[in-house]
Amino acid sequence: MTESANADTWRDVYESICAGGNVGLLHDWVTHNVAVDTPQGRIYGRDDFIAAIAREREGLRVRGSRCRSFVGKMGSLPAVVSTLECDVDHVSTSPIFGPATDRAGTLTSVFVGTWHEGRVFRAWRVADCGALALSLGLDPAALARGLTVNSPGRGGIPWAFGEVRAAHGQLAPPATPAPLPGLPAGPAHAIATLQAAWNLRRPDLVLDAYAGDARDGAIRGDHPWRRVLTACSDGVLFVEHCVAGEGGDPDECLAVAWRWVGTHDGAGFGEPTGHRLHFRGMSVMTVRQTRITSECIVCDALGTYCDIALRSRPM
Amino acid sequence: MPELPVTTVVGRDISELLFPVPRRRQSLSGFDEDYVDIVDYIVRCTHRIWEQKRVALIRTHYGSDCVLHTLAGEVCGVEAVVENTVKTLAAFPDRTLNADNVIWGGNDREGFYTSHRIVSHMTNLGASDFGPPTGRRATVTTIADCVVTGNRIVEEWLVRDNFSLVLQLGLDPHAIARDRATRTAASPSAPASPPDTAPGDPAATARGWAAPRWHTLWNGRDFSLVREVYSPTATLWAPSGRQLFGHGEVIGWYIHLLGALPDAVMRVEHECEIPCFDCGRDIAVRWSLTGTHTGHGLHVPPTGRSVRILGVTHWRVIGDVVVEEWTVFDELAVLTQLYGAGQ
Repeated sequence: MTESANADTWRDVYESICAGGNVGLLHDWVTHNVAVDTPQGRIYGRDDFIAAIAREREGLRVRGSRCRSFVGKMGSLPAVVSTLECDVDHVSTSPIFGPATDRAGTLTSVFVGTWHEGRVFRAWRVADCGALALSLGLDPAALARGLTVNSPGRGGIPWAFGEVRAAHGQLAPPATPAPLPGLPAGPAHAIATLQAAWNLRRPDLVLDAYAGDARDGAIRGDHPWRRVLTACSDGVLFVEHCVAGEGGDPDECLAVAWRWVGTHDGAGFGEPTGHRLHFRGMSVMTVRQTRITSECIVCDALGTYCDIALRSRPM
Repeated sequence: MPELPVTTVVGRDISELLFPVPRRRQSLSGFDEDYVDIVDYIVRCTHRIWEQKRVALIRTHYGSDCVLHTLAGEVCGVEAVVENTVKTLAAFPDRTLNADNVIWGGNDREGFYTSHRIVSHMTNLGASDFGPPTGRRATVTTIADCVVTGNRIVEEWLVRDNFSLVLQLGLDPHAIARDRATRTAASPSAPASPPDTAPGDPAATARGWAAPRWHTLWNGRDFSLVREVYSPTATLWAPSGRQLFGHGEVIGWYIHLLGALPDAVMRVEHECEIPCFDCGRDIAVRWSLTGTHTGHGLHVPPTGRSVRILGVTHWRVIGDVVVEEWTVFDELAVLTQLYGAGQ
């Protein structure tokens, strides 16, 4: 089976699983040692990944779902990107959302997986449980406190060593952006422009990275990255990984895994802790030449609250 | 019939690793017939011993006078390895040993060197060295470096993230370390010597990608090299569950350790590497760090005690920069040293 055919089948499997199908199907599609990075940290191994998916959907009844996928390359490796929206009712007790609220919402997730010989062995996944919590009338911060109460601290290094100055070109030698191997020139330019513009806090340059209607949402007031900058004034945006689509369309599909890192010195995610804040998410976009023509940002405030709780906990 | 390449673990499922095409992929003089190469030997003998519970296989897969080095002490002889394996299985009977990578070098004439990174999921259902069963589930990373000749492991360096394990079991690492310190008669710690950054230092001229870079970083204290050696988006999985990201936190990690052990000397003891797909390479480095705990850090105020850390680091290098690092050492054993084990 070709990688594209694999990816088509994977999309169907992934949608089915997230929409309430048999999670055991994942046994045939991911390796035993799959590593899945999420805003809450890494899920290691097939069994834990299956358990995480099952846990996420427990207590939620799916009314409908919409899945969009594309295949591409992450560096030299084949990759698949699936964006899924599940309309759900919170009908019984959930390990994440607690007792049934009998309210409805939408759980949006993005999955990026790299393939080798028909199985995903490395993946990134963001499910916006924070937005769903708000739809259900719940407080993500309170949920995070409950979810992390028995977890050991993450023991991060609580200091910054020059990222801000490096991002602003004030540290010699100048910082070289992480290479994004395999990315076509146009999308690579768009991503580099976007990253530099946000790090320089230049809305005008941010707008330069977008085309047409897409510009309207680029710096809107409720843009999730604005919230990060409220929470960590010294936040620096990193582009961790990119998947470029192979469709050959004028608008090239692109998935970007990004991470803001900074000091939690503002009130964007609860009371400032003074510790390091890692805000991770993914953007699925289309790029024409060097400009972004559409963009869907998926992040998870609940996962970020959990990460903050674990990083600020003494070991 | 075309020659098959030596097995690689990354990107392969255990169902494939456990059932290789039954054909030798490299010279394995003296090895059991069913092993196809050294990676297959490591993956499958680990699976058989630990997950199939064929502990008796240790007697045909370890040398009779083998030596197993851990930071908590040395284990000598095959029967001692059998005993320790049974004790661990009694404490964590459902322990899985997921092969995450096997980085290797050498050959069957001079001996193979393997560095096996394992992630274990396990439940503490029996009494362990840490105390009565807690019933808690834990995920822990271990790296086992082995010298293998003629189907037998003759020397092994075993590092496990015990500090993280103890935290996940809901136990107090300080209480355990203090208790161990009072019970431990002898410590493997060696006296620290001042840093030697002279050009003639063997670590500086050692062959390999990692050794000269680490010598400059650790012994030369030139932390700016992090910005050349690591990708700006590098991820570092450090002991005790630390998840670090980017130049800032990687530099912070080096300074954290050297701030606690300001006179520390890093010595690269072994290095080997394999290709990783067609775009990078995986490098394994076994190292030791020796110093005096005169600074703050490592969970306790300065103790003035000599400390020796035995560690193994795996690097994934793409485009000549590190994009991901796994560093494992037993920080619980380090804490035990700081509480005065053997001093």
